[in-house]
Parts: sequence; C-alpha cells; structure tokens
Amino acid sequence: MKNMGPWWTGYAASTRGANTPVAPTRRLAIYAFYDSVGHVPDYVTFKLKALKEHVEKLVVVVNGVIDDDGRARIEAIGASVHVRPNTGYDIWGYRFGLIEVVGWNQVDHFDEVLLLNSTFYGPLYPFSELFGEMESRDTDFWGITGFKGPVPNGFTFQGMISFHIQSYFMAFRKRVTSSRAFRDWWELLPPLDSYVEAVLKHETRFTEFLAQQGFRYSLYCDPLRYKVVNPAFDVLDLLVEHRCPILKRRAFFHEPLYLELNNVELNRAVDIIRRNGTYDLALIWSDITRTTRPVDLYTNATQLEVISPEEPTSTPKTRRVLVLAHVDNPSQLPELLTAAKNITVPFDLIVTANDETLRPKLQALQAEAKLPASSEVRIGHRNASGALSAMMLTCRDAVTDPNYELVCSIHGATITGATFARDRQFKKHHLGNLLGTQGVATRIMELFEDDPSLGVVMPPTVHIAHSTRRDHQSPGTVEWTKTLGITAPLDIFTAETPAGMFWFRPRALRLLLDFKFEPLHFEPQPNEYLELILRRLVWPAAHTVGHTVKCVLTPASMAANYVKLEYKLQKSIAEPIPPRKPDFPRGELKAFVRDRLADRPSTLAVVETSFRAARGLFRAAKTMTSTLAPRELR
Amino acid sequence: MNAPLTTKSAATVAEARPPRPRRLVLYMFYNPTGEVPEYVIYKLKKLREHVVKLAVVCNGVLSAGGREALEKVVDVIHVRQNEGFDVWAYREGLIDLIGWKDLEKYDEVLLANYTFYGPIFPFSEMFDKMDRQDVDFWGLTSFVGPTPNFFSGKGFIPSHIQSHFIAIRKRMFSSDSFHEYWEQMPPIRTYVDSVLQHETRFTDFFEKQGFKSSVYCDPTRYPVAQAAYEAVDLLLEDRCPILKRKPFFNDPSNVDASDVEVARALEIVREKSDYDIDLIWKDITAVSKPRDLYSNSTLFEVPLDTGPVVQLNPVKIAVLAHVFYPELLEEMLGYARNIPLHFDLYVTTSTEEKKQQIVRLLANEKSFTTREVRVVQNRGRDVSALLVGLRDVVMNGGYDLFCRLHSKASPQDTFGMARHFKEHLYENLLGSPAYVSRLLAIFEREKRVGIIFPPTIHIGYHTLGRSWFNNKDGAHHWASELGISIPFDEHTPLCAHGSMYWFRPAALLPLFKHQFKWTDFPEEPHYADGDLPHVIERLVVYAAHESRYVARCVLTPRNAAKNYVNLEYKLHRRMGDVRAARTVVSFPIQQLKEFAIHRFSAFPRALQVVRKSYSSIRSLTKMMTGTNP
Repeated sequence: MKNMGPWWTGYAASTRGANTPVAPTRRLAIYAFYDSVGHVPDYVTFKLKALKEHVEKLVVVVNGVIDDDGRARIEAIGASVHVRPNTGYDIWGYRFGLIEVVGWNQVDHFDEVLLLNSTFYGPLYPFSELFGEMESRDTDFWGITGFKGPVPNGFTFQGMISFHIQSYFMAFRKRVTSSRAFRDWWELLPPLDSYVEAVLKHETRFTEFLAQQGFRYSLYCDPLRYKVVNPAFDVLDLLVEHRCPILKRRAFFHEPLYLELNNVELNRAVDIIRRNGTYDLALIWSDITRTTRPVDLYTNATQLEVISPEEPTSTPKTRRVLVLAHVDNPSQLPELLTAAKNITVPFDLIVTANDETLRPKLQALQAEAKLPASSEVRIGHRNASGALSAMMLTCRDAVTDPNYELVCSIHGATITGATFARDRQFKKHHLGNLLGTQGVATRIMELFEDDPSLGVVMPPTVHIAHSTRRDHQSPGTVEWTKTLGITAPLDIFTAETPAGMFWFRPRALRLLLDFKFEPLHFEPQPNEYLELILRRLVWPAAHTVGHTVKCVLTPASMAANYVKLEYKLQKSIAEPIPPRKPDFPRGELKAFVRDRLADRPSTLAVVETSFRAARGLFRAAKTMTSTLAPRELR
Repeated sequence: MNAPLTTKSAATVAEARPPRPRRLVLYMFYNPTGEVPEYVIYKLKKLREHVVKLAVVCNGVLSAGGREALEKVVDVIHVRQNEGFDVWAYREGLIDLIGWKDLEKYDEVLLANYTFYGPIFPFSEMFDKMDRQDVDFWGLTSFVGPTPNFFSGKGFIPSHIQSHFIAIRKRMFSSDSFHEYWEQMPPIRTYVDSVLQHETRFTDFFEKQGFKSSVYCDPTRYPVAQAAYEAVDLLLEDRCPILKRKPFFNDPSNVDASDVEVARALEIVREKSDYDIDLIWKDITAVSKPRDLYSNSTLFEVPLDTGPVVQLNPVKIAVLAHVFYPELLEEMLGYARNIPLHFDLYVTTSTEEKKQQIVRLLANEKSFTTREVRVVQNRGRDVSALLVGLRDVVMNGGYDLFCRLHSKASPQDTFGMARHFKEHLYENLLGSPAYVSRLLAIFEREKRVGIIFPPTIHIGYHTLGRSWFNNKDGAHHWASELGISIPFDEHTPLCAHGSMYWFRPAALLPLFKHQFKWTDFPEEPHYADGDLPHVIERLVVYAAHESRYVARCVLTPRNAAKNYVNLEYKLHRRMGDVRAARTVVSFPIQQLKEFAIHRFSAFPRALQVVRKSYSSIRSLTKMMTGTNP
C-alpha cells in the first residue's frame, strides 16, 4: 500500500504516456469457462469467435464438464479446449491455463496475455475499439472495468477493499508476464474454496500487488466518470451507452433487492443494446433463462410491458393462431368467444370441456358466435378438467401442429369456492390483458414477432381479491421437473404464474408438449394437482429451452393494480403480521428422526414403539396428577 | 347466496300505470361541519320533482350557508341533536315533524339518507317501474342473507332492503304495527345498534306482518350479498339511480378483497349518465383519507408516451423552476420543451451570480418565454421559493396550470438513488410531447383534478408504510394553521415526494393564501426531516383535497412497469414463504430455540441459565467430536 498512494495514481500515470504507443501484436487469451452441465451457450462461441480475430492463441479452460457439441463448436473457432476439475473458480482456471496448458516458456512468446472468463456478454461493440484504444496506451496491464476502492470490506467486515481491476477481463503485457512477481503470484496462488475467498485472496489484491511492483495499469472504462463503487454493475446502462463492450451476466440473476436499492437500470442497458443492433439479444436470453429464477429475471430485467389497448395501426404478420378455450360450463363460453374475436388474424378455435353432455350446447353457442375462424368442440377425458390438462390430453395434436405460430390459451373455469369478486377479477385480469381489445391482441402478437426469444406472454399474478401465497417448490412440482427435463430453477416464494391463460409459441413449451401425458396423471390428488403444477412449470419450461416470458398490462389495468399493490405493500410494512407463536417442534423432530433412520427401519420401529409407550405413560401420569391436584391449581 | 328476497319479482306484478302517488320524502342528512355538499342539493332537487313534500331532517348542525342552499329546494328543514343515527331521525321525522295523522295525506313515504350519490339515472325510471308494482314497501337495493350475524355474533342476518332508501305505502304506514315499530324503537347509540335494531330488522318484521316488499335492483342478478357495495359497477350498468359513498372511503383492504370496481363505476357514470362527477369529488375529498380514495377509486393513470400528440384547447401554462444548481438547468429545459403548448418560464435561484448564469443560458431560447429570473432567499429551499418567492405569480399571474420543477441533485443519497429520484420526477411529469399532451388532457377532461404527480417513490427509498417519518405532528399543526381538515392517512400520506407536480392554482389555495414569510423557514444549513419544508411537502395533496380538488398520479408506461415489478417483488418477499426447498431434514434446532425463548420469556433469569448451559454443552460436544466451532 505504501508506494501505491490513492488508487487513481496508477490509472493516471498509465494514461500519461499515451504518446509512445507500444502496439502489441501477439496475444494469448485464456478463457475460463464454467457451466454446471457442460452446455456451451451461444454467447460464449460468439464471444470467442470475435476474440479470436484479435488473439493468436486462444485457450479455453473448462472447469468441470463440457459436452461434445460444445467442445466441437469451440474447437471449430480455432481454440483449444482443456478440461480440469471444478475447483478454485475462474482464478485456478487461469492458473491452469498459464502454467499447465501454455507454460511460462510459451507465455514469453506473446506480447500480451488476456485472462478472461464466461461471466459477461459481449462484444457489444467491436473488440477492435477496445484493443485499438488500449494499444495506444502505454501501460503494463489493463482491464475493462474496475472496482473503486477503498471501501469497507463487506465480506469480512474487517479492513478495506482497495481499488482493483475486475478479474473477468485483465490483460498483461510482456513486462508483467515475464516478471518474477507475476509468475510467483500464480505459482503460489492459495487454494480458493469459496467465491468470497476468490474475491478476497485474488481479485481484490492482484491489482494492488502488481502496482506495488511498479507496474502501471489502465482501465478502458474511466472509473472517474461514474460516481459509484462498481460501475460494471451499478451503472451498467451508462457503460453500455459509453460503448463499453461487455455486460456482466450477474445483473440478470442477482438479488433483485440489490438492484432495486441501487437503481441498477438493467432494462435500459438492454434497450440500448437493442437499439444499437450490434449484439443479438437472443444470445443473452438463450443463456440467462437457463440459470435464472423466473421472478429474478422478471424483476431485474423488467419483463413487464404496458401495452396500448388503442386501435391497432398495423396488422400483425403472424399467419396462423390457435385459440384454446376451455370451459366447465357453457355459460362461460360467450365471454371467451367475444374475447377471441379481438384477434385480427385468421385463427382456429378449439373449445374443450370434459363432459359429453355439454357438446350440443357448446356447438350451438359456437355457431351463434359467428367466429371468423374454423372452430370445433372437443370433449376430453373426465380428468381433462383444466386449461392445461385439456391442452395436454385433448388438444396436443393441434398445439404441436407446426402450422401454428402462436397459441392463446383461455378458460372460463372458476376456482372451487371462489367468490364472485375473485372470479370476476380473475377473468377480467386475464382476458382483459390478453384479449381485451383488438389493440391488445395485436400488440401481443407483435411482441412475439419483434422478439424471437419470447416464448410466453401473460398478465402478472392477479392480486386484487386474491392471496398471493403459493408454494412453488412442492415435492410434486420438483418431481415433475425431473420427469419433464426442466432444469431451469424454480421460484422459491410467490412469483408470476400463468393461471392457465396465456399466449405462447409452441416450441417454447416443447418440454411440456413432448411428454405423453395420460389421463391418469391428472387424477385429482389431495394436495398435488397436476393442473396446478403445470401452471407453475410453464415459466421454467420455457426458460429451460432458452425462451423468455413477458408479462403485459393495459394502462388501465396497470393503474388499478398499481394502487392496490402499493396499498398492500405500505400496509404490510407499517403493520407487519405478528410472528407466529412458536410451537414445540414435535413434527420437525419426528421428521428428523424418520429421515435419519430411514435406511434402518427396524431401529425406527423400536424408536417409534418406545416413544408411543413413553407417551402413553406420560399422558397417564399427567391425567392422574391433574385429577389429584386441587381444582383451583389446574 | 342467490336466495332472492321473499318478494315477487317486478314482472309478475306489473299492472296498468296507476295514478301518480302523493309522495312524502324524509331525507336524513348529517355532516359534522354543518355544510351541505352540492351532491345533496342536486339530489334533493331531482327528488323534489317526484314528490309533493320534501322534508330534511338534519342530525347535529346545519350551517347558515347550508340552510340557505337547502331552503331553495326543500319544503321543510328540521335540525335535531345528533342522536340515534338515521333511525331516530326518521322516527322524529315521522312522529314529531309530520305526525301519524298528517301522514295519511300521502300515498307513499320515502325514507332516504345522505349516504349515496344520485340520481345517476333519472329517478323517473325507478318511480315509473315501482309505481306499477302492487307492494306495500320497496327499496332500491337489498342485502341478501341469510348470513351469520357478524354484528351480534348470534343468529343470522336475514335478507333485507337497505335503509338508505325505503319507500312505504299507505296500507303499511297507516297500520298499527308500523306505528308501534317506530314508537317502540329502542335508543340507537352505535352504528351496530342501527343495523341490528332497524336496518336488518325492518324488512323481516313487516313481511312477517304480511306486508309485501320489492327491490328495484333485483338482487338475484348479482351473486353477492351487498350489490350496492360489491357490485357498484354492475348496478350502474343496470341503470340503478344511485352510487353509494362507502366504496370511495372504505378500508382499501376491503375494497380490494371484495374487488369493488369503483373506477369502472365512475367510467359508466362518465359514459352513460349526465351526472356530474365533480359532485362526487367535491364531496368525497373532504371525507376520505387521500390514499384510501386514491387506492379505492384508482386516482392513477398511465398515459401512453408514444403516438401522436393529443390536440388540446389552449391554456395558459407557466413552468415555475427553482434552480439552485444551474448546471442542471439544461436537463430541466430538455424536459420542459416536451410541453406541447406555449408556456412561460419563471426561475428562482439563490444568488445574483447564479442568476446571471441562468439568464445567459436562457438568452437564445425560443421555444418558450422567459418571464423572470428572481433571486430568492436561500432558506426553505424549493418550498419557500414557491410559496413565498412566486406567490404573486401563482395568485395573480392569470395562469390556468403550473408545472413545478426544481434542480434536484439529492447529494445526500447514493448515485443510483439520486438518479432515480430525479428521473422519477422529470420523466413522469414531462416524459415526451405525446405523454405531456395526454397528461394535460386529464386536466382538460376532468375539471376537479387539481394536482398531478408521480406516485410515492419507493425504488431505493424506504417510503412505503413510513413516509410521514418525523413530520406527522408538524403536519397536524400546520394543517390546522392552514385550515386543512382532511382526515390523515395513517402510514403513507398521498404525497408528491420531491415537491414537483402539475397543479391548478385554485387547488393549492390554502398554501398560497397563508402569507408564509421567509423567516417561517429554517436557515441553511439546518434542513432536516420534520421541518417546515418537509411538512409542507406532505400537505400539498391535502391542500388540494381541502380545496375539493382531487389528486391524480401518473407514470409513463416504462416507469410503471419498472415500479410495478419492484413493488410486486417486495410484497411477495414480505408475504411469501421465503423458504428454500430442503433436501435434507435437519435437526429443528432453530424451532426448539424459538420455542424455548418464547416459553421462558417471562423468566429472563431462567432463560439465561438455559442458554448458558446449552452453549457450554454445545462447545463441549464440538470439542469432543472435533467439529470446529
């Protein structure tokens, strides 16, 4: 620290010598890659391909696993792939690449060594801008963004974190890479067993260490321009606006309360990228959906849009739409048909129900409605009693018909025991925001046309007249994710669930539609009704195959929902529900014992029998003492 | 739920039109201030057309102005003590004011009260229909029972005609049982008394006597117990002539849970009736807590920010900008230029030097007219700069609308918070030309909208549930100083945080009428929560409601989405079960701890002993088993 001074001196010193450019031509890049299942997302190959134009040797170090397809795609770029155990994070990946794969002798051949990893998207702008600018700077090592210290160490709560170049992208020139200090750092790198260790023992110290050795450094994105500690996260939209070539992945899946508190304008950053048109957003969506909880992505990237209900000014390009309208009572149908008429392109309609006696009535109503569409009535199995069970059991052939670009699922089914208020709000909320006017329907179709990654469109969770508590990770739900091959994470607490009414692209839900559901699967269970489980799985199913889900509200619906949501939040903060009086955790203790003795049934039987005997004795004793005790003492 | 009243439906008893009955109305009115709101006068005027005598029984006080207004439309005004709710007012009206004998002159007596607006649709439709029905008494709306009696906790509430409007025909009101019913009416001391002793009893009592009843708004059409509350919009769609006041001021949690569609009801009034909605705003702003009214009747709009600029009638607009940081002026002007009409600009700043800088910056501006750049005292910041520094412009400038802006830097907040606060205000007040035109169209369309501002900032700020902060006492004090008697929001005042808003001068009169002086405001650098600027910030909307103008919040579509997802997330986090899926069942140590702490909470010493021994046992175990503590 002594000879370093304030953090910016290194930065200032390095920019001063810009008049004597040393143009490095030969570059080595070591790219640390990690994916829990070894899938190589397209953003990685896109990035490597762009990088390859600027580096001579590209080494990809894989922590853990990589699938054959991914390896082939990377090798096709001209990079070598090296797999190592998943330990020590990207840092040990860099070390492995430097020492084990390339070797110090080889490193000497290069003018500049890049160490970078898979935690960011890019290049949002050509890498040539980055390398061109940095070549003109007389510096020993550099990076794209830095963390502006010193700030109190939030990991250990001791000491300070000083300024450092962030380790997702660092470049070192020959003066550094050939130095003893640099090599010792990597040779003597301690094991890094946690993310915090990787940050504290390497990332936050490496810049300071090299600066202390007298090396000068520089940053592509001038940290003085931003009044925040971590510009790559806190003001990512401004960085993108100022032509920073990268966007960190973390902003999409980080705790939403952090983004909220710091007003991280992720959606604005995404909008700028969209406007620029230099980076395909599908690269982001196809990757981030696989690993991000629905509610986190929804909140962080504002996957909600206010859509105009006004007269559409254009005709959608969508050619073929399928509407599925499920009812359990013919009286529900006219409302659904009226809504469907707001679709301004040709569509086919299938009315489903699960009671044969309803067929004539439904057919009559359907004929009466004079739909500009071909329509049929299908009566499904008795268990096809909800919108999704009807879709899976009664209409699977139609939904998977490649003719249809979009499907709109609506239903009139009332929830058992629902009040008039709940029922009405539920219908209004869903039908209104999905098919309320021609403008609404057109705008939704255009959302799909504009964004090929978009898989599902629905209104946000209904909350007026409804409770918003739902268990998203019930054992049955988790079980079905395995059966259906849904690997994207589920929400923990309440989040957005399509209540059986939504627009979707059939291929976005292929994990649900490819499975051959049987009526038996939908047999009503006491707590786990597959219809409801499937509703919860719509979002993760789309995510697993790289499709996004977006929510929509009309301005009027937004206004109505906003004021009520605001009221409930302020009330819940001002008048928190008092904590539940704790009970003796008898159930939990039982579950613990049963869990521990699960593979020793005989021991469990002995324990349970003796427990029951002891309990009997205890109760008897208690009754006796209480009958003996004087009345007023009881 | 759907059980109809034990009445015959209208169709089955229809007959040829009988001669118009001679009607008497006993209208019960109560207002603690004694003022008579315009909606009452309008309603009585319309009612008078259908009756031969209209008597108003006023509980409590009646102001001179109120009496004068009433005298023009009614035949009799009777002021009595505020006792016994509407029940004893009806009783006194029937027995003392009119008397059983005089009552015989009429064919029908109407008992109605002030708890509803109307006629939304002509009373004649109602009278025409009901005059054809051969019944002994009838009402407008009813409560559909039986439901368990949640008032008394005993028995059931039967279906009954609601007491806000009941008509009784001669056969019934000349009967002994009717006289006895009223003469033996017990004292009514509480609202619950009035419900149990009269409202829920009346219909059942007289039906058991053999009198036939009917309800104008057929309850079987609405699958709810109280259509007049739970299905306000559906009633109006069926041309029910009245709209209850309760949905506007009731607890918003209940309005939410029952999905009372107040906004939809207002839309129907606007589209299908000639009833002046301003009558509602002029009354309810005084009665409802501002946030309750905001939440119940959706005082919120999301004007679209794209598409064409809406054509507007010419209005005189002035932008009133306090520019403490001249470096922010250009950004502010960038937003102000989104106003699609010509406007005047008035600037206040804190020093002569800044004034020169601002004058230079404005020199070549052609898209608006700069009227004045004033140097004002730097105490009280933007609040005094408006209330003292620009009072003359607001009071006498001859403008229709003002847009209040100031250079917002929030140096005390983090960069992200400050940036959001500034953009929250500028973007949602002046987002784009199309957006501002739609915002101004609200003023053009609704004459009683007096102030438009973005809703409470909450991203990055802990405002919701707390935003009185230290200002509630001060707000009570200053409210009475300024003559503001609006009921206070409990936790989160409806407030234009950041003090930027569009307003009509008449709406903020209570603030400008008071001759605030510079010395009322704290001197720099003393500027903190609880002082006058912060108190006034929270009273601006209250001042508008006091002036009987109503507030309206707006967000651009983008900002609405951004705010909404975060509101949702925060609510879900509070309400939801934040429980990760557990794969391994762990020893329930936490639950045991909670249980022990709870059980021993009355015995702190014992708890201490238990804790001590627990922790020594734990460290001992860990030492023995070799697990690192």
